[in-house]
Amino acid sequence: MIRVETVSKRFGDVVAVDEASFEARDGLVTGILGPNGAGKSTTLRMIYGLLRPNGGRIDVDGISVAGNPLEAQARMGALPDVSGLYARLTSREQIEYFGQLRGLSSKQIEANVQYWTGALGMEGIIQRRTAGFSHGERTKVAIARALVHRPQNVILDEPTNGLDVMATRAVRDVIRALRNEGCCVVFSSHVMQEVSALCDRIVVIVRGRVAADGTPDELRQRTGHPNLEDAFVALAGQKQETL
Amino acid sequence: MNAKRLWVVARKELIDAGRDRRAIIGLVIGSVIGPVLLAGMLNFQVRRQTVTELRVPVTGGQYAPLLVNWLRQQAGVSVVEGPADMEAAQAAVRGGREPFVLAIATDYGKKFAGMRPAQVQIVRDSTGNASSGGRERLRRLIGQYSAEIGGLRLVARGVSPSIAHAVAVEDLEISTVQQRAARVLSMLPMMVLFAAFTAALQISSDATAGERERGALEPLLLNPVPRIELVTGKWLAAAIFAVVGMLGTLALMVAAFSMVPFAETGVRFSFTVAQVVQWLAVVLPAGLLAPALEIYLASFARTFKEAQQYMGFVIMVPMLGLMGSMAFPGFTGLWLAPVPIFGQFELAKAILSGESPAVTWYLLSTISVAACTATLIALAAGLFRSEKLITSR
Repeated sequence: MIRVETVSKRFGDVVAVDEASFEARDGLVTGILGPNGAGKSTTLRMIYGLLRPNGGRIDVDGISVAGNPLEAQARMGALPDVSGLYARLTSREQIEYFGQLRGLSSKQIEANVQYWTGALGMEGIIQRRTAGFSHGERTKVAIARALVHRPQNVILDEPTNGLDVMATRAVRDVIRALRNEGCCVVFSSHVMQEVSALCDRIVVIVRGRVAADGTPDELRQRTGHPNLEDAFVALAGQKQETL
Repeated sequence: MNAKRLWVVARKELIDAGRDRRAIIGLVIGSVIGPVLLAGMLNFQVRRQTVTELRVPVTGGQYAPLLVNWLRQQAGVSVVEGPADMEAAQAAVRGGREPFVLAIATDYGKKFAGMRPAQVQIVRDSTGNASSGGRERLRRLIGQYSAEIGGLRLVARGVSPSIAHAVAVEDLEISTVQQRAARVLSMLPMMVLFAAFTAALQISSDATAGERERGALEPLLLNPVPRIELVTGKWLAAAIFAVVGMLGTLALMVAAFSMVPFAETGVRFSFTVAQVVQWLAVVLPAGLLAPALEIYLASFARTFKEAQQYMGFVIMVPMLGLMGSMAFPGFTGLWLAPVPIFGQFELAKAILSGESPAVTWYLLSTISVAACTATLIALAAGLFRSEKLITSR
């Protein structure tokens, strides 16, 4: 359960996020949808505690991210927009490293390495060093590494960006499995198909503000467009006009 | 701080750097460069002090058989048949085929018998590359021969040769052998520190600026681990590289020493185990400052290349220590003890000179260098807390 309340973030004179509020509940997939540069990554980075908001409040499972960042981070697993793997370590070593940093026992780590190897179809790459991996392979390892502790709250920043069909399917299956386990999943995208295929709720962010928040059906109704993409364009355009 | 997690971070960096060819090359170069320099310097000194063969080409040797014979009997001198005549001798020297030629005038014998100064010439070319060492030695030898003959002539006339020597000059060496050895060894701390800086350089910049450039810091910082632990773990790995580099360089230096013929220089090394242990206890902590300084500076850099530029200056630090103690030999007050590197250099010098430095010196300098290391790590952790680490890559 992640609650974002009137959160703002400025970089110098640039307002990246402007009093954004939304909620991501357990057992649901919440999509953060917005054009490039809308403030999606900045919002996610504030949720997982790497950027400090200039105003507002973020709680993860009732724990304040600003007040107790390590405790909040322990309840989250996050995939940033760059996989950032260690090229000289094997897939397994990277996953184990993050598991050790999170204080898991070697038994837990081994069980979770097995789980993610199966879930993401990494049998062929688990013992290989990650230098020269394809984008899809890197993303799989990065997901397994970020979620090695099987967290309750999962934050994915454009996880399917640039992936081929097979890798995209594997990531979607993981997201659905997480939802079915009752996890709170937040993922950002600028691709409509991704969002409509997966999300229970959609938060549309345009120029740092929440332009709309609701189920796909609610968004369609609100804008009067039966097609979600048209609804999104209407919301994004409307917001830009008012600014 | 959680010691187990600290080691998790350090272990990962060690594995990572262990597979990084550049880190291993840095470690090897760092260990080797000091001993090679030192061996070169010592060899130069040894060679300068040992007698090398002096080759004397003589033109017109038949005019001065006594002189040529005398020269032949001198240790380390070999007389060879030179160019046929004066013209050929000049051409040989001008052409660089001979560094010099000893030419004996045709009337040498007549003048020698007549007790007038008999003439020899040393044909030389000052614009050439030949060193003046051999020439000067030959000049001294001939001067010695001249004095011997002159002495014999005086004796033959019933006069003591010593009245011809109004003033006698003699060098009196007052430094002890141990002190001369210590002078050579005063270079050692600099070289060991140099090894520490070089060995840790690659791992320090790759684990910070390199990971930032590759976007690997953001996922790392998502783990619920205090930044100070991450930085300390990275420092620990780099410090292990530094210590391996320092010990490697020391081992190679011991090996290099054993190959240099010290007996010929009059320099003798004999240290007690206690001295060696003291020396290591002084110098090794200074080496731990190296990775801390490198990690701190590299944490400013956005890219690995930018970090490498900073590292170029860092390498100068150990030399500053040595230059400082050379430039201000009189500055040995207690205030110097807490100055990092300088304090260690003074201490190391004192220990090898056979002095036993005060415990306060040791405590002050070691506590100071440890405090500086901790401060640099804390400052680097501060940089790791900055949002710029993530937002400007």
